[in-house]
Amino acid sequence: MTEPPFRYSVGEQRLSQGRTITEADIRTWAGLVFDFTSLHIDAELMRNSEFGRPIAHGYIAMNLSIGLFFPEHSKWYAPAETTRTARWEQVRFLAPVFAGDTLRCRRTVQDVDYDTPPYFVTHLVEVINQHDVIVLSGRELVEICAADDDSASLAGFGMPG
Amino acid sequence: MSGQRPAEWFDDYSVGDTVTSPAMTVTADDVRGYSRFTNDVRPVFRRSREDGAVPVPQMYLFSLGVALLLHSVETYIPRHFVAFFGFDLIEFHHDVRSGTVISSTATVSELVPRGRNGLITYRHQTSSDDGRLLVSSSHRILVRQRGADD
Repeated sequence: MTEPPFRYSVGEQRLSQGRTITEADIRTWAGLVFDFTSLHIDAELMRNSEFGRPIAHGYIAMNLSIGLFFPEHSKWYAPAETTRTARWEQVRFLAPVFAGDTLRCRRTVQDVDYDTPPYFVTHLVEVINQHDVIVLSGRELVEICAADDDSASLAGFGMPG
Repeated sequence: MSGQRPAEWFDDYSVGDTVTSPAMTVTADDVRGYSRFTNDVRPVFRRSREDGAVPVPQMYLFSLGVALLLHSVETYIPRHFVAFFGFDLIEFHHDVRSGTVISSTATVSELVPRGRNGLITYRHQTSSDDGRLLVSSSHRILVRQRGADD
């Protein structure tokens, strides 16, 4: 049987570096996914809302929950070339994010499955702002294939593996 | 939502209502922009083919697929939207490369009144134009209920 490329312990944790969200980030994200909802980009409208200013798309925090782990924790999060996401569960947007907030991501290993390739690791994902408020939480099931199982995952990309 | 007017309130929705997005081709530039923005540099998403096609990161496919619903003829997020509650489940079914044409649907599967508001549960699917299911999710939004004076 192929050895897993990495061994995790339930409960182990990693905290990413921070990233300060800017107004440019909010506009860039709006352009990347064509989400120019007023809530995110209209300062005049939002001035009179309960938030007082535009709020960042919740998807920014969710998507940064992966990228924040590169490069410092890249081998921990993605120990194999074919590491990918199998699914997310119970994703909750718990607090608004504003331009100027600094986000970090904390991942805690909740479960591991090393029985047969592909191997799976379940992370509790928490994105935290500069006040230690959790703005997003969820569980990501990460699929880790051993090196000689690359062909299986790469087939979906039309590659020879 | 099945009536003539666009949905504005929780009360305007019925189970089974479906929102259908326009189709869009995901380009290599889209993918590169996403990777630079998010720093999602997982090796599996950095392998380009000779024809220049690049793998589409799963989270981009998902995020773009849901956001495309905002451009539907039907109303995905109504005027009296209160908050995005979250995703109960997001599943990735197939990987694709740039050049793929995608579109999404979201169908109302449950309506639950909650005080002055109501929770709308959507079952969303993003598919390629050749009919492959790529990403699906179940998510909920909180929307204001119509009051006596509204």
